[in-house]
Amino acid sequence: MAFGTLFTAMLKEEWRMHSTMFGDLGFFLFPVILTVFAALASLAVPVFIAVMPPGTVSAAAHLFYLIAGVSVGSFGLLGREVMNRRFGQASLLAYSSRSLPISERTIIGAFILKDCLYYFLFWVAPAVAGVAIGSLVVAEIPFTAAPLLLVSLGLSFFLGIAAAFFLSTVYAWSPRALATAIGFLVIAGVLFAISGIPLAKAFLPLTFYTAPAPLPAVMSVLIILLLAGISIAFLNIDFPESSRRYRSRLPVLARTFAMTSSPCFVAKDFIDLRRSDGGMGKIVFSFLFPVAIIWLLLTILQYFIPGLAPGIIFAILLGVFTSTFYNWLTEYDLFTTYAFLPVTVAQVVRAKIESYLILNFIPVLFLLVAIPFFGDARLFLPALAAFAGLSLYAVGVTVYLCGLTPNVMLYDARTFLLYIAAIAPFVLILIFLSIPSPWYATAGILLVPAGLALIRKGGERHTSFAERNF
Amino acid sequence: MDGEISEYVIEARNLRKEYGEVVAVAGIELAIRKGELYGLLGPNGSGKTTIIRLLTGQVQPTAGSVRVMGIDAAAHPVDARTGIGVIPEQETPPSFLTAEEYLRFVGDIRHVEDIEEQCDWWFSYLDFDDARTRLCKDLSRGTRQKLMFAQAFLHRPPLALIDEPLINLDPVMQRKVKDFLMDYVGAGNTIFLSTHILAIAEEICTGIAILNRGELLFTGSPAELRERHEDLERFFLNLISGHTE
Repeated sequence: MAFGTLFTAMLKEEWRMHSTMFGDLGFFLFPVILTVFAALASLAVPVFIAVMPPGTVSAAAHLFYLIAGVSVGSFGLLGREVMNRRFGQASLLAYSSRSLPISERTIIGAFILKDCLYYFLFWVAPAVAGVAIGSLVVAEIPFTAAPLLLVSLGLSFFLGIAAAFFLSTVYAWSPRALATAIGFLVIAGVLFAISGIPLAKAFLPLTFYTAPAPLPAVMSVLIILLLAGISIAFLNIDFPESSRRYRSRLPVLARTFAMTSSPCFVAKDFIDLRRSDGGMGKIVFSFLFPVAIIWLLLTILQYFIPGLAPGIIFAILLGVFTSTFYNWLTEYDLFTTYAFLPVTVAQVVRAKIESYLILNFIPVLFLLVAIPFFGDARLFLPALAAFAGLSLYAVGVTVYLCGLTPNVMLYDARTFLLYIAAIAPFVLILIFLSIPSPWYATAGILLVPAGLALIRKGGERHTSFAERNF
Repeated sequence: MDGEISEYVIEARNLRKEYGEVVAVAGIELAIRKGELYGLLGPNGSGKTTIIRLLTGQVQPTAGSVRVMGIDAAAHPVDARTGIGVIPEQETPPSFLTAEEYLRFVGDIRHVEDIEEQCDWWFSYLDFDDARTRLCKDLSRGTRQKLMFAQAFLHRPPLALIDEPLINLDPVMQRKVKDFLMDYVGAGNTIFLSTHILAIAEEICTGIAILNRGELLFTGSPAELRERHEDLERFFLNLISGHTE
């Protein structure tokens, strides 16, 4: 099979996998919404430029796309596990080396190229189109910004994908080597932060955006090719059958969670998190990055926008981000695993929410540190109330809209819009309420009953949906 | 009325299921008595799995009614699934539980009191004790099939609905499972099994139904066919090709 045939077939496969889940229109609308959001965000650029140090917005955008690339690359490999449960391994072209005369290197090459092109069209190009629209009305955005961003954000994104593939190749050879590589990256990051070298000098795609010249772009391309080349050259796929054995933990954990409505389900959730790739650490780290960004932005913003209560805003946004724990909890099983047993979707959802509530101790620990850091430890109570309200409400909205499949459903344009529309007003209301007095954010606790009602209704709704459509 | 005493453990009246424009089950009638080992036969895509999902309340019918052990499976699906055992066609056990943890998990949902003894017995009977501490995702297909078989009978249900129970099992294990099924029915229980392997039905079933494109073409017994000097395979192929044409 020629490389071109495989590449085209993989592109079609990726499209059909998504359109099967959301419908052609539902998935096609996703980049359109991204364009609209980017255009709206462009309108706010003059405000950001006025209150933030120069270069912060463009640096944040490039870092965001680097991380987006890493997550697309990671999902391309690790997320296959999730897709396999839905579609079956044999249905994916990535596994065709088992049955067709194609080498794994050819497959991974086509796979990387496919991910780069497909997700560039779905993630990068629409956002840049939005900026291009914004540049028509916002004087602070030059007309040259959009074409430059198309290249520089694209390079950031591809760098992220190539890095994820490179790290996955390292992992395939030795998980210990991956830990060493990550440790090295963390140390390099810390040294860079201490050195005081501007990000625009060190991060080549951003260097290209801030001072357009061929050298940083060419260097970026070379690094991307080097990482991808090493990934392909040292590829090590042997579809290993693990022979590892595990002590039975279910009865012990079920006794620990005896106070929940379904101790065995809750115990299973924690076993899934512990035994799947990355262990419990993946939750903390996936959460750590956005939380660190918010922390950093609020630390800066409090000096530029007087009257803000940064601790309270941190708590509000922390509540929203915490709801992504629910996505982790639902990543490792589908309801079909239980459909033939005497349980309903609503019961499984309830158990997942109990696991979710237990995991909420992690963000509460963050809150305990953050509130004194932002200046007034007495604000812990209103911050906790706002956090608890948002955390439960946001997860309630997720359950209502997506049931047990948020990782899939939130890519549906309509569902994603409803999700934003249901959560954003309450985030803004609480932020505005906290401006005259941070104590008014205590009103966030009123979202708890709303969240609980949404969880109950969502469970019923998705039980009925499963019975109609299974 | 739910739970009413009936001579039938499974009753389907004008049972119909449509998925959009596709008619998966086209208004079938089924009545299966206690103590039967009933085989539902049909080619791939004939609607066998949908019928098992309808009978176990996993999916709601478009029309008609279905009662399992006297319980309306459409109105009370969880109650219907409580008293029965099910082996689904494709579903696999959760990836990150060990085989033993999965049996304990199902045992907890089904309130099995003697789960320890049950686990020991099944691992020994189906000869897969080696899999006990391995993750379900790392098990071979045959071992997963054994695990799914064990979970269906863990609570000793009076009725079990099993979809392709012998798939992926070696001949020795197939014999063991067939003997188990016959003994289980001999003890007064009922088995409803779906298969496209005609030899299994001919060997162990007391009643059969032949399904094609969602329609029931025949209900009777292998013994009946033998009396008519009909070979099940020839009878099946004639019936299906006649219906398809």
